[in-house]
Amino acid sequence: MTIADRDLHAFVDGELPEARRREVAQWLAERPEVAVRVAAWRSQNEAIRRLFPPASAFRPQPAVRTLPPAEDAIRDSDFRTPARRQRQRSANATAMVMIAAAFAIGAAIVLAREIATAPRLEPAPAVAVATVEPAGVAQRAIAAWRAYANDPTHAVEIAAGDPSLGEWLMKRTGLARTPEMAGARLVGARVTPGADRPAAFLLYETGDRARIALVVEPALGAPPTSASGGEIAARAWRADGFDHALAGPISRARLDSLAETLGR
Amino acid sequence: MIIIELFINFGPSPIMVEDPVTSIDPRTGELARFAGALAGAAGAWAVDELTAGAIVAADETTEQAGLTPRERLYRELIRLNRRRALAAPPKREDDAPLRRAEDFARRVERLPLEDKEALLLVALARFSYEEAARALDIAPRMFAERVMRARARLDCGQPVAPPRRPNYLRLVK
Repeated sequence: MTIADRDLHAFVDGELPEARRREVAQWLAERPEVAVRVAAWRSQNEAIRRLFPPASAFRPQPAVRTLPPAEDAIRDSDFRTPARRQRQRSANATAMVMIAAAFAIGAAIVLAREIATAPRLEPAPAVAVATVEPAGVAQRAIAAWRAYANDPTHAVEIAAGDPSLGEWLMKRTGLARTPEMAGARLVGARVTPGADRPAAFLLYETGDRARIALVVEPALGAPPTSASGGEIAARAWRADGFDHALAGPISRARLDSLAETLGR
Repeated sequence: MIIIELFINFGPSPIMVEDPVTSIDPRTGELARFAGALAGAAGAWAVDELTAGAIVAADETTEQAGLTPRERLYRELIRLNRRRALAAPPKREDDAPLRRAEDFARRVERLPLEDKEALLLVALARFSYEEAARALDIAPRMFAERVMRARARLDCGQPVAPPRRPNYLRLVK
């Protein structure tokens, strides 16, 4: 079986027919050194998509016509002529009114029958429902700081001086640029669990030996909010398609100023 | 009665009429993302110009044989960006070899334009090789070569072929 570089690239981009795809996968399974290269190309694709987030993340959406959240926002329907669009809107509006009318009539009939026949009921006892807010990136940064920041020997997985640090973070978390913090040196980094995907945990040390953690993970859901837990405060923000949280045992004002140096 | 009147009087619904100020062409978001990846270093104004220009050009262009509307849109965007790139002053660092430790974002930005177009069409716009080759008006085999070249440069930071400045203009006697 002959597998050329061209086949490997086509494999990464989903261009191969199923039979050929299986052959290449089998071939790669026997050659881990090539499989690593192929995985790196796939990571490049993912990193590019994260580097340039979908338009909905940075452009205000119109009030009347909203784009789908999916990445492929352009649909065939977008190329309809104005006349066809107008006809479609009219048809949609008519359908909406008809459905609303049907519901209104049905509800009125049911309500009238209920009022006429139902005995008076005592009000139902109130039920207390406890809700638990999901932890945000700020809470995860505080937890990660507590777990790792002051570990004397294994605070980070890869030290700042290691040339493979940037590429490793990019492959694991999609973080294309290792942030620099003015007034603090980078100690190193590790990967920690994020909300949906692995997060980058970058540890910095200030001149007065305070250890500050920056947690960066792909943006998900609502914009993050800051938090504090005991002596640790965390400042959170969203930028460039990632949620960031800066956590450490320093004042909020100082966290703010450090966050500013990160280009917050 | 009110419901019946609604059925009788219903014309184009006032609540469904687009506000000309807030309505945005639905193609804008996706195209602006691609334009930002292709020419983000030129600034937000250039990205907006490219996006709007491509939409207008694609709408005004008569049907091109074998091209889908989406392919036509990307072809126009790429054409406008090449014209912009030719007019922009060249950067001295363009021909310098890419270092491995350089930021990934910077390495993507510094890819030769033709290779960057090819990689972004596949990775960001998720075109198939065949669609992308049609949008670029080249053979699929040549398109695959460009993707391979872009990845090789991102991979090892070294050019696999001598770097060259694209030349889209021909001398006409």
